[in-house]
Amino acid sequence: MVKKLFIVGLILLIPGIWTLFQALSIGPASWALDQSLFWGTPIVNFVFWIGLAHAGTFLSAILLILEVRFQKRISLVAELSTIAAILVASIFPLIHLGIVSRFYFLIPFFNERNIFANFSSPLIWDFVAIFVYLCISIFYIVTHLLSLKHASLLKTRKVLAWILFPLVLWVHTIVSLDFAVTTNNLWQGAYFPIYFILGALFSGLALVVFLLEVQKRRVRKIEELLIAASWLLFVFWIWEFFQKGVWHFEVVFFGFVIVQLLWIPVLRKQKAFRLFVSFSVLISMWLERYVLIIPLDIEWLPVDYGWFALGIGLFLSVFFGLYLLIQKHNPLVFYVSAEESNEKYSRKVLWGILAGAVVFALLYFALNYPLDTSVPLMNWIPVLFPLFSLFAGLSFFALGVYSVVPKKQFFLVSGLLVLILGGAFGAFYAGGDTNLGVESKIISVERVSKNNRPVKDLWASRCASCHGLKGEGNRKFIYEFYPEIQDLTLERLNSQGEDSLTQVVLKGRAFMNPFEGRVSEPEARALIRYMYQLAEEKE
Amino acid sequence: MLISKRTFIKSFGALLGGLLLFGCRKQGEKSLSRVRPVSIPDIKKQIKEAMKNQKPLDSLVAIPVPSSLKAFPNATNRFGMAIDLDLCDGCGECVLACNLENNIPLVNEYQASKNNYMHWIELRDQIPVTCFHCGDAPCEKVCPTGAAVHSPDGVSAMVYARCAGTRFCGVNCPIKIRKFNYVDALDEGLQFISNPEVPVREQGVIEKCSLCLHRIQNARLKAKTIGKEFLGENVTTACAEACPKGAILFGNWLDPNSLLYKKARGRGVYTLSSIAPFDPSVVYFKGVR
Ligand code: HEC
Repeated sequence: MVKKLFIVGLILLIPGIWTLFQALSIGPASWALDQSLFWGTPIVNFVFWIGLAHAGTFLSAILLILEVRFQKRISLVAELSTIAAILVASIFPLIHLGIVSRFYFLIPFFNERNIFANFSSPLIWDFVAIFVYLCISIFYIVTHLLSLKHASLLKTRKVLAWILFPLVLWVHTIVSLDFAVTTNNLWQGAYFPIYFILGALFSGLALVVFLLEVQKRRVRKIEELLIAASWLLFVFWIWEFFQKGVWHFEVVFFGFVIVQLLWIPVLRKQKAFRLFVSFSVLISMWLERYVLIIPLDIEWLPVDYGWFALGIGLFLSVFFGLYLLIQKHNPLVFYVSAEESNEKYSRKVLWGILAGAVVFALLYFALNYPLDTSVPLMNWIPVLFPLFSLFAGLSFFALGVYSVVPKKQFFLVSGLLVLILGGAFGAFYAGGDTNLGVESKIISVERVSKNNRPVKDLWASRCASCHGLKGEGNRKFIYEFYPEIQDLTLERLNSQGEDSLTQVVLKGRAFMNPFEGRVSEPEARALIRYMYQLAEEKE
Repeated sequence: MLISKRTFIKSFGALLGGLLLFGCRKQGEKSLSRVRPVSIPDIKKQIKEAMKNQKPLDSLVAIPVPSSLKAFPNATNRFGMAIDLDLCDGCGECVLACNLENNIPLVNEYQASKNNYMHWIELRDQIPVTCFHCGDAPCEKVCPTGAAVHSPDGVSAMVYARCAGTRFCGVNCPIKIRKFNYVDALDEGLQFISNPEVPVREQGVIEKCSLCLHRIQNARLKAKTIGKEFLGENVTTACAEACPKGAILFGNWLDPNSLLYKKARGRGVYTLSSIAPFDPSVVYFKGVR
């Protein structure tokens, strides 16, 4: 069954990949949108999949903290489904961007290049929260797998569960804020975070029912939770009806009416029926997000259908791929439960790491704070908490892993990781080339200088503001700030010579700024030659 | 199983690779030479079509005359416009002038059939509607990259180079006046560059009325060169210039000598009900107060 589903996933990936490339090459015009509907099916799918991910964490981490017994039997499956679902979910907001290659504008990185994210926007909170959530979920499942061999890691697992518990609630609250902070009154309401979290749990429970059936297992408690969640959501649907007059029969039918059939013992005994209920819940929750985000009737394009193939295909292939991989190493892993262990971290370690995390989060805040004082302090908190979690989670994870794996391996792997991440950090910090991008298409390209910056572009970006595009001198600017610029004539240039003019560019002279460090020597020389060329053209 | 694991993986890999290549192929080789260049009659035609199916308009509500911005209490300028509904007859000349001034692209037939135009000014129930340059703009609050920002002189500006196209601003605009560039208009032959001063927007960014920012900046530079404080004299927007009835006024709400300020005296000042909470800089004049 597992293998079959893995193959189904791979086969679904074929139309999925087609969809992905269609979406990337055509852009947002490839799915149903228009000038009044800017968010379409990718966002529906994003909310749906991130919801599925949360339930996995809930069933593993939160039940671990609450010491619920059946947690042990389902935790690994739940954790795997979390990882696969976050991966799927994170694709959609990226594809949905108008210019995908600018995704990094959304990272609230330090303000090195004066492109700083706007902390008032929930999308920034989203980005950080989901990234941290993915990281800690990975730490969590790795700790789980290691703890099967090394019981001492159980204490790390518990700490990570404590970090994940508020984090999932945090993440989905932020997802709901994407909608609740807008001016659209169908999306407003203080109840939105709870409504979203409940919806996420509900759909996730249904998914776990399905995944357990695949393993030919059944946990009655989850079915009961499903019924309970359906009632809670039903209350919200009624509330929405009275508040906003919103009522969607199909959502209530699939999500509430059908679930109630689980009360009938004869039906509930049937495996097929339980699967039917779980699919019905998934459909209902997808529809719920759909009618929320896209209230109008719109005409779907092929890519809108393709998202299903992409989402389901990727989920199945990642989930069952990892499943098979883990099972190969340890065939019984999904059926055994970890040993008991009452070991705990000493108070000192706990406080030390917590203090470190607070300092880390506050340091980030302090480093960025004076930037934009118009942003209220409150708006930083959604980012500071995930950063705090990331630091704490990483420390506990490293501490735990350090205690069980051979030291040599640990330092090798972590050293490599630090190198890679540090490189990435440095690359971001240094920033890219600030040459003109799209605009430079207009100017024909002449590659002269060392690092291949076209001189014309260089002139246009660095010098033309004062000297003018054709060397005629930008009168508007010069009158305001500087004395008249020398006329650019061959005679005058010749009288000074290329070498000394190159020095003028690099070292500056009177009102001419020094450009050392901003243009290289060969570039300066190339620019002087370009000035000769301009002077010739004039004559 | 009929096929062995190995052959399955092989053929699957080949298929994925093939699809990858297929996906990466150059989309629709439309050579520019085949596309007929855009002309002014084409623009006029789309404006006429847009005017035929006008979107509905919210109700008008009275508001006080715009005053200092909350975010910039010490600024001396707050540029804005007023549209005199007693004079306006919905002829659509302002839309054409705006299109030519700001290089607004045409849209393809599919978008046109769905009534999705790029026009920065739209007629809704015969009333011109454009970005209201709200002082407390909802679009700017949610823009994650800071591409939608407020200038200290009251213009709700768009920094195209910073826009990543999340379209959150469009979602949060109560009147949905922001326009998204779904296609590369230059590539598709939908672009008519009539004004080299205004950049052509790339595919994937949002655009909207800029209050003819380039005109404001030119006038500012001139004023500075002479050494005068700039209060928005000698500027007007393209739509205001083009209006045959003189129904559109551009000016500075904070300058008592500005025509806009003077004309607002005694007039009823209105805006759309959905915009009223956000302190708009562009308003409607109607009747007397
Ligand atoms: C801030 C305005 C400004 C910029 C930017 C600028 N220049 Fe100049 N440049 C001047 C002024 C003013 C002078 C005249 C200085 C003087 O007479 O001593 C000048 C003089 C020169 C001269 C000497 C010309 C002569 O006839 O003596 C050269 C060569 C030159 N600039 C090259 C460049 C190059 C190359 C760049 C771009 C890397 C550049 N400039 C950017 C303002 C500028």
